[in-house]
Amino acid sequence: MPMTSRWLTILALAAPLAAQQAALDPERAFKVSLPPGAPVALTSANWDQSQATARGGALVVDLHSTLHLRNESPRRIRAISLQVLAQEVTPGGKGSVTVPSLDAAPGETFSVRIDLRLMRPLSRGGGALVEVSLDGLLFDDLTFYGPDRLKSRRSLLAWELEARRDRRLLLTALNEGGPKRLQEEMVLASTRLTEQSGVEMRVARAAAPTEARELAFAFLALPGAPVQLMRGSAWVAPGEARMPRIEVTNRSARTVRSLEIGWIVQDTNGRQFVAGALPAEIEIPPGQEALISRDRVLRFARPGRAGLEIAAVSAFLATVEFDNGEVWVPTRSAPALSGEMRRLVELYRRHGVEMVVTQLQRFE
Amino acid sequence: MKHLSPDHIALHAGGDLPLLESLRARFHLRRCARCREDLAALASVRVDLARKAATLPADLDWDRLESEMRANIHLGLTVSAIAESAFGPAVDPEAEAAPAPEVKPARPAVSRMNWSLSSPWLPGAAVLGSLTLVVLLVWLLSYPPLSRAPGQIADAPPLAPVMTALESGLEVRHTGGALTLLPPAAEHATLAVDLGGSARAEYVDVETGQVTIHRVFHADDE
Repeated sequence: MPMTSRWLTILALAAPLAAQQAALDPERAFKVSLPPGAPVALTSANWDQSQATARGGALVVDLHSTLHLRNESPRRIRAISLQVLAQEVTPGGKGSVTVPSLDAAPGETFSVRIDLRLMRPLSRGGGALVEVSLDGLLFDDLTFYGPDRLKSRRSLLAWELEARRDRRLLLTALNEGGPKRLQEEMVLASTRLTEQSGVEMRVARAAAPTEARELAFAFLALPGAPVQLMRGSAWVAPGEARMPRIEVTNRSARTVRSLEIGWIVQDTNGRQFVAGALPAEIEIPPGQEALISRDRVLRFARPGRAGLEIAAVSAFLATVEFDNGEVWVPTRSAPALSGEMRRLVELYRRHGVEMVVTQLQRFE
Repeated sequence: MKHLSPDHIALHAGGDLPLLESLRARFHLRRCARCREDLAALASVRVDLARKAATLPADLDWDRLESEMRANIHLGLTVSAIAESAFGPAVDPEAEAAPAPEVKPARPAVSRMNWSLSSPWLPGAAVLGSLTLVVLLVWLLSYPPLSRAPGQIADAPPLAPVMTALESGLEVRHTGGALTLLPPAAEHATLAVDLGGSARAEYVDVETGQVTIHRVFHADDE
């Protein structure tokens, strides 16, 4: 085939994929809601880069904005969580955008970037409406504000506690071994960060059972854990794990309100990755046992590679919430890197160990 | 430099070349910008088509589709036969140009299109045909997934809400609509799904240095 014909053919194949684009009316398409008297105020939101595209029989709406929010409270804000709703597009579907590791002083402005895509059939009438609202924010004294529809309080509190724990561990390393020791810690964390990338996942309600084998969980013991993971198993098949069951015992003197168990999957090549979590809203009185199970299927894949064969599954206690609202996180680094550790690793990679030292001292 | 044939590039794009051929193709591609461009163009179209193909409804009636296609082919053949009876059979221009051993009586002077393999109309016809096929395909597969890698993760029941965590974003998909939270500029994403029915991704934004955590879920799964 001559070169010209080859290019004409390629262009012909690509031409219908090119889209008909149109700008969106921000007044109609987007809404940012903050409750009256909220400790943050919206100072600006620019949706100019947003657009709608007709693609086949579907309408694809790309929304891009940076919300600029000002801390109106007398306290420093450490974390914020925003709810993203698109009821007309995905009834019941929700999203959230959370920024932990903030340090916004009273009167200071900070930004939250929101990039999302909506897709709906062209035949459905009306415009896409996205509503962004405050779900919660955490202050530096660990008090919380917000409607907490998405259970943000527990997550924000756990992330903040993990951040404080990791900064404290790094500060100890710095004080005991100087910048060289801190550098070693950052290199180690950086390696773990790279290992955790590259696996894609999906979760849905478990459909009809497929051919699978039952695999017992191995549990990682973390010192000081108020809940003990006793025994458990999941059904695994190539590329998927389903219907996990884990029995736990509350070893503490307080009633547990909820807990989250982290999952680590190991493939047949010995590669491990943190696959997800098994959360449970379950009341467990002191000394009592409970069974946690979910009728869900997790599917894993590595883009561009052969199917992922699961050789082993292990689990660890990630967080526990007590009935008085207190949250427990492991006292030393859990298998999953915390968000704060990831932030510090990125700082180290880009600006070196001195910038990490500055950050640690700032939060001290 | 001898370039890779379009067949080789197409097979290489799909990972279907035998090992030795594949190694030779890779060696050539390292040195040849033109073939790399062709490969990139094919790969891009391939990914888009595969994304659309991944969304075929589970209950698609293939028998009906096949019979419709057969009917279209029959229609094309009938039209062709009518045209031939009106204008006479198509003639190879090279055969026409070659010295004929004997001269037959000329047919009536009726203008007609020449569809032989070396015809100058061929690229245009190929373009038109491809365009029609792709438009038909795009129309059939009207709800392309936004970010799923082709054929990587098996589908859940079609009406159940599904939460997906991909490097290219988090998606909640239900009843023909989808909401996808797109990642910020970040080098690594930590993806996780939770068996409560949500998907989660953590990023460190390279522009702001902020940690951003995205999550999607469905009210039915809470």
